[in-house]
Amino acid sequence: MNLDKLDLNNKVEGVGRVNDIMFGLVDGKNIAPKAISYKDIDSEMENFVSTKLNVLFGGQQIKTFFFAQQRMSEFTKTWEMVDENKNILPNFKIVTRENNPKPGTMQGGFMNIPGDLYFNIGTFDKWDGENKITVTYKMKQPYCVDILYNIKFVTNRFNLINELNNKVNAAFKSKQAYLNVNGHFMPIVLEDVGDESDYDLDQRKIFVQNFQLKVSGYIINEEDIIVEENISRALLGIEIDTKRPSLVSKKNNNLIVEFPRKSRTVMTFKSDNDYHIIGVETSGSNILSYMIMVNGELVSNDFNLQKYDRVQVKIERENRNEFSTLNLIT
Amino acid sequence: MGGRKAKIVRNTMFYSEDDFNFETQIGMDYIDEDMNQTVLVFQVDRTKSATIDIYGESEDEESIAYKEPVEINVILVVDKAVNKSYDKTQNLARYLQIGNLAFSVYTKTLTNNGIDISYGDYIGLQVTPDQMEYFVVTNDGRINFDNKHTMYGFKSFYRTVECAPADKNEFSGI
Repeated sequence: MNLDKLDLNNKVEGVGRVNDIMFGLVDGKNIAPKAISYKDIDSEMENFVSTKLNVLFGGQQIKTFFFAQQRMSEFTKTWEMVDENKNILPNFKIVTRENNPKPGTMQGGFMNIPGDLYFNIGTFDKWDGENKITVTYKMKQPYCVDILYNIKFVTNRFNLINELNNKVNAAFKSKQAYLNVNGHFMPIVLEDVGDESDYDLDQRKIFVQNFQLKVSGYIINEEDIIVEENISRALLGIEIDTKRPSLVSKKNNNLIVEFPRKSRTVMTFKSDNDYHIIGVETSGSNILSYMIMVNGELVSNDFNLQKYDRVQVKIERENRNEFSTLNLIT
Repeated sequence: MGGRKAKIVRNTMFYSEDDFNFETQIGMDYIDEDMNQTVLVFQVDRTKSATIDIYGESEDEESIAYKEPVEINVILVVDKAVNKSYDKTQNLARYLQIGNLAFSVYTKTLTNNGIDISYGDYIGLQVTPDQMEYFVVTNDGRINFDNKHTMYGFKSFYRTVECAPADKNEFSGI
């Protein structure tokens, strides 16, 4: 697996980090490895044979065909280079694959971790305007396959065999070459070199040179990769009612004014109705003295209150740390 | 051929040079006028052809130089085309290989046209009005003094030439 692609150690800081968060996904950032199918490996092998093992004839690159068994396959690939008898003209290269690849040996014969576990392979954060979202990429362990390819070079010129043989031996002089399949590098080993030429004296002679290549690859299905988004931080809008809860209440038609511990000693409220106050009760309620004003005027213990009158009660406490209650008796 | 020259006198009690020439002429008349099967002989000019030095093979289909093509009358046989494939593992890259060409030609026909047919020469066969197939000589039948190729054991009078189909990018002809 190409761990460099994950770029786990490249930490961005400062403005770059802010941009990462702000534009993390919209700029196409994608740290997940691309899926790999058999088709991708086949396609890259054809490309490898075509470009890395290219041979020129008459200034033109000799064509490479990846054939499957359906007869349509040969027609669709070769219709441009056939003669009047619809026969494909040498020189060309054929790529065929062992149809049923065996389990791979890339892990040295070790098997995969049992179970369909998903493993974290990387995370990054993004900001969608309201939430900071942690995007986590997870994937299953890929499974390995050994894929055998047969490369056949069909030619009627010995000199071209030299050229291709030179390319092949140069490509595999250090044991293995590599396929780059969707960013994943897979080793190719030259397994065998053979000759399937027709050398019959009385028949048409044609060179068919065979190179067997083994790709130690692995398959990642698209459904093996999942992306999870989790909110890691949210901007919460909280509306707070700044009004204090009313400390004036009614009980048995009396108005009770409460002074919590350590609170201010002046309480102001508006009358919600018409009342006739006939006395003030303060006994045993931590109040040494009190003063009552209605609409700014000092009143005695017997007074009238009208609706919306502004009442101000001022007390002097015995102990500031104790609760105090003043009872206006109606 | 230089050197000693000897007259053929075997089997001459009831057969002579005149008989041989007479029967040869009858056969040639039949082939030339009644049958009228022809092939085009491309004698490769081995000194003018462009070849890769060490291998002596042609560089491309244009690099083979040939002498003026000569049409000769023959009796020919073309084998049935064979369904083949270049990839023998999975039988892919299929092609229909043209059958081999074999023809018999009077030695005198070659002499009259001033040509010889050698191993590696190319033979053109007009298969349709607008298509000519090319063959390369795999057996020029030069050694033809076996019983079959002689007239009553007197002298050889024809050659059987065997050819295999030639690739279009080996020889493109005319």
